[in-house]
Amino acid sequence: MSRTSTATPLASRREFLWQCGGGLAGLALGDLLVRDGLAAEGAPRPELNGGLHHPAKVKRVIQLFMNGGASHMDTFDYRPELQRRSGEKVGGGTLMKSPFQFKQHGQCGRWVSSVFPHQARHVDDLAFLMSMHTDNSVHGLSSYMMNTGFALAGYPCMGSWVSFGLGRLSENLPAFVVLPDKVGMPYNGEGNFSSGFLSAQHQAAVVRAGDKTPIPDLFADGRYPFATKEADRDGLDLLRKFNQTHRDRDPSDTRLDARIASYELAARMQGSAPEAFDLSREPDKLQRAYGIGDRVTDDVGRRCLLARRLVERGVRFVQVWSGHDGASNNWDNHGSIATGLKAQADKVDQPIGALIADLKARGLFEDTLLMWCTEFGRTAHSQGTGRDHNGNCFTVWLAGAGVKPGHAHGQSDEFGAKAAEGRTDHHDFHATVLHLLGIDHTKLTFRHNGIDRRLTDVHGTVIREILS
Amino acid sequence: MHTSARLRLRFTSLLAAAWVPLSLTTGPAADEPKPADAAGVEFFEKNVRPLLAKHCYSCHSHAGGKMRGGLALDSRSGWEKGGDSGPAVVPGKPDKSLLVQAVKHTAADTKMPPKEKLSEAEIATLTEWVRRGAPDPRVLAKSAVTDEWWSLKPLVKPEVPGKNPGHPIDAFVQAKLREKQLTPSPEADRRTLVRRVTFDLHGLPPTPEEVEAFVSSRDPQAYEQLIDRLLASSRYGERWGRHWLDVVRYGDSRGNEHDGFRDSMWRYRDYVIDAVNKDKPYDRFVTEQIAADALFPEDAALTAALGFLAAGPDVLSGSDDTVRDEFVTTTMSAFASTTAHCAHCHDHKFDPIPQADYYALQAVFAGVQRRDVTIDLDPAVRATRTKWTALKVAAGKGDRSALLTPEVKEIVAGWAKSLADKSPRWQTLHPKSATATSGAAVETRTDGSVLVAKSRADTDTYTLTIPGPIADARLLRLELLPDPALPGGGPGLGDGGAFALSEFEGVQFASEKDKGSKVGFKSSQSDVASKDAPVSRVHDGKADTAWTGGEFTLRKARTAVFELGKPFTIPEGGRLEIVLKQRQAGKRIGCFRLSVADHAMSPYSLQPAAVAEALAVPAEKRSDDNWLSLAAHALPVVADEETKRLPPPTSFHVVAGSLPHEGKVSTPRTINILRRGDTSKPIGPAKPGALSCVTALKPRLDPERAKSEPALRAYLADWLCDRNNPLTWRSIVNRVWHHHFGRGIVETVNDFGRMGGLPSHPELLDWLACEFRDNGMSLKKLHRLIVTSATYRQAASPNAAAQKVDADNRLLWRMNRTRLDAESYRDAVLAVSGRLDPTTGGPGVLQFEVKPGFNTTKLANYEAVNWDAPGVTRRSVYRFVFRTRPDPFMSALDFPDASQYVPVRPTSVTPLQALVLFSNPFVLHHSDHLARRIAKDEPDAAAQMKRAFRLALQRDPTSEENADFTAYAKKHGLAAACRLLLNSNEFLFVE
Repeated sequence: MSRTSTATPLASRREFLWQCGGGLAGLALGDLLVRDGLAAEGAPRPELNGGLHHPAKVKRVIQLFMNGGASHMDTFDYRPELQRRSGEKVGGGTLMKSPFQFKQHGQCGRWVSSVFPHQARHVDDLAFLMSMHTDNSVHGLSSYMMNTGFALAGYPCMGSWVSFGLGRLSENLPAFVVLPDKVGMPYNGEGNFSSGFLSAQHQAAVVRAGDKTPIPDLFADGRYPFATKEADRDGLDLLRKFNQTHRDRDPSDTRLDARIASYELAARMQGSAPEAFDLSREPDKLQRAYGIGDRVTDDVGRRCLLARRLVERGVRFVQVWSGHDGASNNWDNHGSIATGLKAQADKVDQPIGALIADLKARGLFEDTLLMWCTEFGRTAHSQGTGRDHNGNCFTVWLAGAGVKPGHAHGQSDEFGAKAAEGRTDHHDFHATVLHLLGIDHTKLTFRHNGIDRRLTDVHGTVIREILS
Repeated sequence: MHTSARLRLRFTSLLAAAWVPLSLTTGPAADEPKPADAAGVEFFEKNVRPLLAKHCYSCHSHAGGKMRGGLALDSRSGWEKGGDSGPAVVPGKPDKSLLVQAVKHTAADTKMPPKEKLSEAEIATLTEWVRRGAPDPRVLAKSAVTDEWWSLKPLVKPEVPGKNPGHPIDAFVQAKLREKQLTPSPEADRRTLVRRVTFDLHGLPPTPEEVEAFVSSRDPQAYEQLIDRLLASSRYGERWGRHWLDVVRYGDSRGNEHDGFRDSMWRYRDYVIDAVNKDKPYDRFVTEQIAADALFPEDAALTAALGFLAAGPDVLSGSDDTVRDEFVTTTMSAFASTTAHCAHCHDHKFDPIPQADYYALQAVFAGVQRRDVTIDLDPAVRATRTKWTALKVAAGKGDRSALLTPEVKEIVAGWAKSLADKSPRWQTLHPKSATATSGAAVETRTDGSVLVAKSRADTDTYTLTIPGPIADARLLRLELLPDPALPGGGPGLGDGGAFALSEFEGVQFASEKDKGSKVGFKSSQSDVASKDAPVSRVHDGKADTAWTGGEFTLRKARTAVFELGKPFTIPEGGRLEIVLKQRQAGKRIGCFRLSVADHAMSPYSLQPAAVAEALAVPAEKRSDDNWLSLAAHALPVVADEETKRLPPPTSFHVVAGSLPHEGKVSTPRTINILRRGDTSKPIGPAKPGALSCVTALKPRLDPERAKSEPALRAYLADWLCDRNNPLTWRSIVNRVWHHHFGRGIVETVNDFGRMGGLPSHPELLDWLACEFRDNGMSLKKLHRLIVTSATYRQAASPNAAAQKVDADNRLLWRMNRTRLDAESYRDAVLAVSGRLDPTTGGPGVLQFEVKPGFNTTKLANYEAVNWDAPGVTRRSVYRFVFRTRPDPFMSALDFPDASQYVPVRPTSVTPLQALVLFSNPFVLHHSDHLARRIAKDEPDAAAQMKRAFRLALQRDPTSEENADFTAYAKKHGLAAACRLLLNSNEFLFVE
């Protein structure tokens, strides 16, 4: 009855399918595409370059998220006054200078510390928000704010909003992909990538980049020997026929057609995803540039390269996380800036530098936005040899389409303790990203429990100063 | 599928229309004093009003829907009250008026309008207007007359239409259909009907036997009997209880960054299922969830109901205002389908709910918070535990009035009596030899004691050798004894009899040649010790710490008892060596004795000195101090013994103030109305109450009653359950209707306001609400009423003509086809594969492998779950809902983010969902089980597919289907064929 002869050992059948690109790619796709559940404004408008409300500069987004609260004054925010007055007791704490050397880089002369030599080479392509601030200094709350615009659980994140607003670019891959740190989830776990009250089709596809089966359930597990490649192929044919007969009893119900089409789209995804996830198709030299193969940079390197491959193939929004929850292996460097932050920086710098260069070289910056984010900054005061949480100031950068390269907006105070000039917050940041995607952040709404909800709540101003 | 998009479109058009009924007029009102300055008013009307309307209203008016910075410029009171920065206009003083400064751009941070500065002429007009004293006749009319809106109109039971109406529901529905020249669809066939109603009421498919029994029954009451059977089963409460859990955002973990498990949240889930199964009258169900403690204080088991407000995620923003906001939102959405929470920062923009009403509701929750509580549900047990706890507290405090009572004396006497039985029987150890490294003379005496002579040594180590046999040693006792032979009288050789024992060690030798093994100590206790020198210091392996027997040891015996790591018996020929290390200058021990006992360590192993002293005094001669010493020691010991015998108390996770069993009543705090919801901008205190737009009811609580916290919630429960509350009864019958038909009579089941949908059958809704309210508030009666209607029993078949008129089927000319929700799909797969575990209730079932995480949040691996492990295949309502580590399988089928209100589940269709249903181990595993079940039932291959269809789809396959699937099964296996059935649209949709 059940099939017993197979050339591939059962246990690795899934991996095998991954390697050979699945068995169902040959199926014909029906005319019906599942594009339901988009924003009321409807599909992206071609005359607006795919925007909803005004011409879009950006079509795809890669967001790099430094989980834990990356210290701005040890990376991008050079505060000479802090260096000079280190050790002084000011405002209830002791000022601590950065243990790292700062130098000016590029035409624009941006100061970057020695922990980011690779990113430093690209400062002329980056636009910095030097005066970001947030209401909270707790990881969970600030991570929610930075991802969903609210400090409470259960709101949709930016990736889901973008999927809701603009839909897919490709029928073969998900619209929104999240690549968490190899070791674990960030603070709030999957709450950070929730689609909240938006439909499940805007859920993130959480992909385990280093795994042999990056997308769970893309292929049947080898434990089930009856789910062979041939059984899948014949099965989908029979299922289609069976569903079609069922559907013919009521052709008015498009949900039945949509489900039939969804299996064909799934088959397409089975065909496309393994290729998209196969980093070995990239030249060795490029893989090495991303730090793949090096113990320190391998994980982030793989995920950065994967992010590029995914946006290139039509994924709308990719989030790459650095660091997991808990007290170590992230950017929450209470213990030591000199060693803790440095170790974390070493993991990401080369891959991020390579990603910038790669996106640029391939012309992807024409319509791709890359951004480097975190949930909050850190204190100018010392906490032993580390620094504590500081929602009053942090730095993020953006690069790519629509962004004014080599520009910095805003300034922190003399010690980097507080956002001083050109203050911006997560609402402004979200408004700006949506703006670049051709979306008016006040118009992308979803009515939930009596309120027209927005990513930006009732706040947010587009930061025009960093737009090109 | 299209729900969200469609609703969104509808809402957008409503948004535009919503202004029509909301009469915000800005003409002069009769009761306002007429401005004297007629010329000023003319100036205003002619020059200023158009200017404000053109440049300011879009961001600062009710009509514009925005009050940026809290400022409204569409009435006199708007600029008088002003926004966040205070009054916008000071009449007569342009220089001091923020409005003028803003338009002149002289204010540093406020430059208005933000995009384009007004012309100089316009600025001059405004300045002149202010200089003239800002004449302004505009008055903001109060919100529209409140009960104009359908949901606020009093509930009046409509006449059932028609002369000979039959089933009332059908009469209402068919009357609407007739208006559009539509006719209802014929009744669905019996197979369809039994499948529909079983999924509807149980969330499970009927078994083939149940299908056959119903299909072949000739009893005219067969359908009614089927309904009765389904409603009597506890499967019903599991299905309909889960609908309610969506409304309250039920989850078994806290949510957020530190997403720890709530180990007792499930009691609320079980409460809901039980209440639904028992058909608790709805007013009682509402009341218990809001105020069980206030209104039914005698029934402690109802504490579970107070999980209502606790079932959602933790709110970590640090603001109580946000916490209470969630209480208001949850309560008013769930019971009244009202968006009162929209009036948090300003008066409700669309519904007649002023901010004062919103804070009145917050004030109802002013004394409650999220809590974990443990309660003895049995009042007798509770009383016993309370008594012992009180005695323990009194003993700790040395409360004389509580301790010197005959009752306590009796307890102490009882304890003293049992001492003889419970105290160890000590066997004195007689050392064969004893030495001191200092060289001091050591004497072993016949009573087993060892006497060390005074020497000039500062530190010392004594070694004793005790010959076997020593039988059954579990405890080892060390007595330090005063002795007249010692200088000063001992027991130590230091000043004032001081001693310091640094380390106490033992080695046992089973024979003479044995190399010996160390005697370990598990625990120890002493009669007297100071805080910083407890007896545990003598077996901490650190020579610089010691036990000193407390202060003032002169001529006082001191005792320590050690529990041996492993009990030992030393035979004849073996020996025990004991070493006493003393490292503190001069503080050597003068006289001591060792003994062992075959006894477990217990509070009876050793009596503190004061207790021993008091015990030595005959009962009749004991002083009060003697009694106090005894009570202080004995009461905790006896209390622990007595309470250990009690059944353990029950834990609950609730939102509550002080509970009845805690014997105190919380006082609510004052809640302030906040300008723009900003906690730093209080306007004035709120009076506890509810919605003033419900004009039949008192909108505020009597101030006297408002002083007791439970009375606040009792008031709200009464307000909600008042028969004249038009919202509550409409809300619940609409919810029930929604789940039966896949859509409510009002589609927005949580919002009956102007931004919500309108009822498709308003008379029917009111009729149902009255019928429900006036006939026992029984959900089961309501279900029976609905599912026995011809409207419910219609086929779901298409009808091209009807579709042209009402494509959306709002008028119910046919039954709606609905997709199984996540739980129903999962439970159906388990049921048809024969793997459903029907166990009810109890802690959430972990359907994931759990591992410690990097912080509180544990790691969850859903792929590692063993579906054949016991208890894993229980109904989905019992699965542990882990907020930040959701089950991807359930999410793919639209199980919601458990931190959000989900009155209506979306049903999405995505390729990822197809992948999950096609390849997730859960489906594959149970395809295999289904195949095995079929193979067992039907050895014949041709009959197997028939069985598979009957189990999965409640029908026989057509001959073509049978041929197709049999051929497929032959080629790829029966399990592969079963997998297809479990992926089919027919399996996923109920019609």
